[in-house]
Formats: sequence, C-alpha cells, structure tokens
Amino acid sequence: MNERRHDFELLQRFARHGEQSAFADVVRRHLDLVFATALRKLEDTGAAQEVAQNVFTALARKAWQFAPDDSLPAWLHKSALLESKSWLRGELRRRRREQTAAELGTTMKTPDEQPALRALVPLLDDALLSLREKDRTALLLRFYESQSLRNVGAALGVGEDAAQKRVAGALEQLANFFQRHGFKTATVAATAAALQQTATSASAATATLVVNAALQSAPPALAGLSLLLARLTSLTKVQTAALCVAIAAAPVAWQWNELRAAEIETARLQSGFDTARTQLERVQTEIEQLRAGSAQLNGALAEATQAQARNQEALRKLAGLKERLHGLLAASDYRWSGDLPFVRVPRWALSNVNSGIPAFNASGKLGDWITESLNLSPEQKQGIEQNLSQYLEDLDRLAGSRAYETNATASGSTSPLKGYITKSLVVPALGDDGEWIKNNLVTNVQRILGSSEQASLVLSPLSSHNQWVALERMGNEMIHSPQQFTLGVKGENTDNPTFYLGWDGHIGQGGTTFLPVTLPDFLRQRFDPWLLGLGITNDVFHLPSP
Amino acid sequence: MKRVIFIMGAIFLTTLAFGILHNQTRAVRVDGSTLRRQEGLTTEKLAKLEREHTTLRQTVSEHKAQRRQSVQTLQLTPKLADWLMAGSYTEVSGSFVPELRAALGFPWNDSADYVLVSKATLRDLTLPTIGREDKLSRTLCAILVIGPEEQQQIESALAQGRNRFADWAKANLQREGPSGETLFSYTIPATPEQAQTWTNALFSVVQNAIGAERTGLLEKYTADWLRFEAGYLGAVTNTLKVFNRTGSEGKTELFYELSRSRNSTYGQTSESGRVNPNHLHPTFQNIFPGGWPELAQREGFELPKSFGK
Repeated sequence: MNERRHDFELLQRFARHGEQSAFADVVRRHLDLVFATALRKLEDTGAAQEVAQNVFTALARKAWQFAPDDSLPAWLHKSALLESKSWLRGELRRRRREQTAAELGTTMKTPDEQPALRALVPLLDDALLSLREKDRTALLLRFYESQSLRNVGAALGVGEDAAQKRVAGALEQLANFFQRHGFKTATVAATAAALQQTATSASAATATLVVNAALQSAPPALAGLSLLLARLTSLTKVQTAALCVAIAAAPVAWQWNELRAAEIETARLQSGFDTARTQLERVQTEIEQLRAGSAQLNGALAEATQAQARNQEALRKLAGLKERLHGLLAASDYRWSGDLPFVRVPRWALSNVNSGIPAFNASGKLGDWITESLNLSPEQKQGIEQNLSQYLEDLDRLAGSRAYETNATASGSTSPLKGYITKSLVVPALGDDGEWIKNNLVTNVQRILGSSEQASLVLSPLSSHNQWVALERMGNEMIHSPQQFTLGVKGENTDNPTFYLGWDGHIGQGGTTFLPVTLPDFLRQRFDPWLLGLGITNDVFHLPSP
Repeated sequence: MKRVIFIMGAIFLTTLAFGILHNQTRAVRVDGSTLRRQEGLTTEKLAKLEREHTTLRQTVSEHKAQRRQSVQTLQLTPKLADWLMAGSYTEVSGSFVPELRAALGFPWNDSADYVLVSKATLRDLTLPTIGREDKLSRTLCAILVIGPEEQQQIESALAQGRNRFADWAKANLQREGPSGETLFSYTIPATPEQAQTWTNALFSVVQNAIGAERTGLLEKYTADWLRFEAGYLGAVTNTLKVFNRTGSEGKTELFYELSRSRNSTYGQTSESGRVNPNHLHPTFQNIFPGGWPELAQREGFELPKSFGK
C-alpha cells in the first residue's frame, strides 16, 4: 500500500474512530525521524524525547486535518525542527545545552575520524528544508525511517527507479546546499553519509512514552461539524475541486435554470398579453365602429320607420286621389276640378289637339304630351318608340344613299345667302321606297294602338309645320318631292363664323357659332367634313348645354 | 484547512451568484405575475367585449334587416310622397307627371269615352279655339269643360271686344295709295294702351265665367288667334295692301299682302296671295263687314269673277 495513503488512513482511523492503535502505528512509523531530527538540533536525548512528544501530541490534535496527498514525514520533520527551535529558545534549555555540550561527543554517533561530516550536521536540517517537499520526504523516508527505495517510491506515488533517482537528486541538492554554505568538500556521498550518521532510532520506551503523552492530550473522536470538517479536509485536491464545482455549479445552474424558465414563462406571458391586448384593441375598434354603425342604423331605422309611416299616409292619400280620379271618369255631371292635377277629356277631343312640342324626337322617343294624350301604356310607348326609331333610321339611310351635291342653292335661300360660302345637297323624291318605310311605320303603330284615330295623332307631326327641320317632318316631304338643302358659312376664318341653312322654300335659319337646329345624320355626315375643310371644328349642329 | 477555506470560499461565491440569480428570478417572476394578472384582466375584458361585440353585431344585423324591410315596403318615391303629403294637388310639373301617372297605375281604360290628362300637359297642347263669329270650338269647350252658359258669356265678351276694336279701327284707319302697282293700302295702327284695356275687359269676363285656372289655359290657347286673327289684343300694326301683278300666264291679277308688325322684339310677319273675294282677313272684316265686295265698291276696283280657277 502507498505509504502516504497508509499514514492518512491510520490518522483517519484515529481521528474519526479514536483508534489509539492506529495512532501508535503512526508514532512507531515516524518516531525515529522526529527523534533524530530533534536530537540533531538539541543534541539531548531527553530534549529530543520531549520534542518528539510535543510533535506527536500536535499530530494527535491535528490528525483530522491531514489530506491523503499530504506528506506526513515532511510535516513531522518540519514540526520537529520548529518544536526544537522553540525548545532552544527557552532559557533553561539554553543552559542545559551549555552543560551538556561536553557530552556531545559521546551522544553523537559521529566518529571523530569524520570531522567533515560533523561540520555538516548543524546545517543538515536547514538543507533539508530548502528542498521541495517531495525531495525532502524522499530523503526523510530513505534515511531517517530506513525505508526501502520501493517504499519511498510508493510513498511518493512513483516506481522504485524513480524513487532512487529522486533520492539521488535530493542528495545532490543537499550537497550543493552545503557547498554554497562553504563546505566545498561536501559531496553527495558525504551528504548521504551525514544523513545516515544522523539517523537515530528512538527506544521502545521513548515510543511508548510519546504515544501515551500524545494520546493523553489527543481530542476525542471527531463528530458533527468536526467530522464534516475532517471529511472535507481529508479530500484530495481533485475531490476538493470537484466538490467546489459541485457546490457552485448545482445551485447556480438550478437557479439559472429557474431564471431561464421564469424568463421563458414571462416571455410567453408577455406574448399572450400582447396578443390579448391586440385582440382587445381590435375588438374595441370594431365595437366602436359597430356602435357608430348601430347609432347610424338606429337613426336610419327611425327615419325609415318615420318614412314608412309617412309613406303609409301618402299611400292612403294616393288611394284617395285614385278614387277621386276614377270618380271623374264615371261622373255624369262632370265639372272642372280645380284641386286635382288631372282633368277629364273626351277621347274625340284629343284627336283635334296638337302641340308646339314635337311628338317625338330625332331618336324616336315620344314626348310626354303625346304619351298622355294617347293614354299610352309603357308597353305601347316602347313599341311605338322602337318603330319610330326604325322609321327615322331607315329614312335617314335612304336619303343619305340618294343625296348628291349641286352648285345651285336652295330656292328661297338665294337672297339670305349672299356673301356666304355655300354647299348644297339635293335629295330626289324618295318615292315608293320612302312610302314603303312610312306605311310600315303606320301599319305597326296602328297594330300597337289598335285605332287609326289614335295612330293619326301620333303620326300627325309628320306633316306638321311644328316640326321645323327635324327628319320626321323632312322625311315626309322627301317622300313626295325632291328637296334641296344649302348650308352657308360667312366669316369662316374668324372666331365667330355665321351659319345659314336653307331648305327649299320651307325654312331659312341662321346663327352665329351654332345653328339652332338638329339635322338628320345624312346631312350632318355631308356637311361636317366640308366645315372641317374650312377650318371650323366646333359642332355647329349641336347647341351647347345650358 | 486550506481545502475548507477554499470550499467555504466556493460556497460564498456560489451563494452570492445564487442570490443574484435568485433576485433576478424573483424580479422576473414578479413581472410574470404582473403580466399574468394583466393578461387575466385583459382576457376577461376581451371576453366581455366579445360578448358585447356579438350582441352589437346581432343588433346591427337586425337593424339592417328591419331597415331593408322598411325600405322594401316603401312603394312611393320621396318626391311623390312629399307631393302627396303636401295635400295640394293642383300644381304638378310636367316632369313629375310620368311618375305620378305610373304611381296611379295609368293608363286607365275604364271609360270608353274619356281619358284623364294632366293639367301640365294641357298647357303644352294646341287646339282649335275660336271660329267664325267668335264661336268657341267644341274641342276647347270639351277640354276646358265650358258649359253653355259660360260659353255664351265668353262669346259675348269676345263680340263686345271685337265691336270696340272695330269702332276704334274705323276711326283710326289710315289709307295710302295708289302708288305704282299698289292700288291702295289700309293700316290699322297698333294701340297698346287700348289693346291692354280691351284684353283686361275680355279676360275679366272670362275669369268670372270659368275661373282663373281655365282662363289661363284659354288665354294660352287663344293668344295667337286674338293677336293675329282678331287682331286687336296684341297691339299689332296691321296693313293690308292691294296691288296688281302680272301672273304666270301673262295676265294681270289682283294680289294682296297682309303684314303684321307688333314691335321690334317680335318683328314682322306677312302673308300674300291672290285676292279671294270670298275671304277677307278677319281683322279687316271687322272694319269692312261686307268683305272684299265692300272694299271693291269703296275703292272702285273690280274683283275677279272666280277664284282658284
């Protein structure tokens, strides 16, 4: 077994369990070392014995403090030296030293024939203390405890060869120490001899005495905190380091982990809170919008309810109005009703009426007056308008296809057109083709109205002079006789050119910037390019919107 | 001993680090606790708001449905409802008539003899009004519902007016000619003040007979006739010129030209043609009741034997 380990275990058994036999073993193993050291210093056996007692007594007290890797021999050597010095400082001891100086030669084994060795002895312990602990331990074990090189190596944790080398190296260091201190002749051999010569074995009685003395002053077996401290002290450096790491790492790591977990939880809560807050804000916004919408709807609903009530009242009034109007139609003593918007008119009378307003426009749309005078249903109105539109379109296409230019101006327009640049168009009588288009219209309108009298009312504007220049009148004229149209322009290079339109003897109409007429498409298609050629770009046939 | 000290030192440092971490952990946990509490409150508030949100959405949805239903049940346009609620049905604009007719469900054909026509449309119509001897036309009487008694009152007023005008015209008639091919010309000068007086007198009678509304319509229908045919209500200057002109067959024929000028705004209109012995223009017929024969006798010219041949 490792010598150092063995010492440690013996001391542990003693410290923890109070095994005196273990301590006695320790004393027996190292008493010689202590005794020899003290004797060298004190040169007094009794004093050396006393120092040995003190050293082992101290060891007994401090046994629990030793660690497995501590060198007990080194500690004992050092303690022996310190204790010896302490002893020497005492006055009494100094005197005894003087008295016994004469006896030195008898007590020391150093032979007279070896004076050089004797000179080295006083410095020997200082030389040992100058060594590193392991080197010192190696020499102490080898020379003062007479351990084999193998045991020395075991104590140091190395092999036998290494122990030998360490011992040799240590001896060389000691020799160097002596040489540095003036002993030029000190060799390794001399040094080893000095060590061997100064090794002294204590007697068995001394051993018993020391053991008893140490055990008497030794503390009881360790318990509680002391035991814990002893355990801690007994740890190796690696174990200590591991313990420290364990002590430090575990709680810190645990707490750090707690902190991390708390942070993660807090982050999760923050995220959840943020999400909830965002949702809250969204819902709040939506609620505000809904409240606003609800308020608006409430208002609208109230208005709608009010409007509905009002509407009901209005419907009631409408029903009353209807009843009164129906009464007009059936009344035998009908009189003018000043408070009603409608009057009763005999159907025969309506066949004699006309209007300054055209019955239909250039696209065939019927005027309100004719719609009402004929009492047309929406379907009838739509049917007539479709036929009128077709009639106007067909007539326009036919007139356009037959129209040609002429140098002559329209009769009746000669005088007003003096000074004008003119363009004239002639449309030959459309004849049977035009008549067919017109008859087609008449037939269709009669079919829709079911009464030729009513149909004639619709168609009467075709021959009416109320229709000033529109195709509906123009077309009717064109069916039966050739028609000539002359457009004149004066001041075409100015900002405000003047226009004049002549249509045979029927009309002559002039205007500035715009002609107050709506011409059929076939005339516009001929006149527009001519006007553009004169540099007139405005649409002279369309009155600007008011 | 060094080991113990070392271990104690390690314990101290560990305790210190532990304490710091513990404090931080505690602070974080306090924050977390606060957050949890706030989150709880927020979630609770959110749940409450979401309930309110759901309720509000439901309410809004119901209100929308109610409103939709209310709007759907509305059958009249606001304009029509306003007009009906105003309660005065006399005035109705032309542009509103189609909507009103549609609301009433026109056309009504429950009478074979009559139709209902709006007063607005009546104002747009033209119709035969006054014939010979100041007789109101049948059409005018039918449309304005003028009864026999009312008709007689109006026709009497017209005759009175004509007579007043004839008397004044005879007294103020201006004659010119002969000059060149013109045999003669007669001019009845415009007399705005007199014309206004006669007009007022006439329509005062008419209004007493048929009321203001129908009088307005009658005035509109008869305006041109009174101005140009009767010739006395428009402050118009009427000139009749008779002259000889060689016709297309190289034969000299008797022509007339009637020009009427009201004022500078309305300008002048004229008509001309061969003299028809059977028809003198009504304005001058008032002065020469015998017509062209009376004029021929008075001026000493010979009327054509026949007309239009």
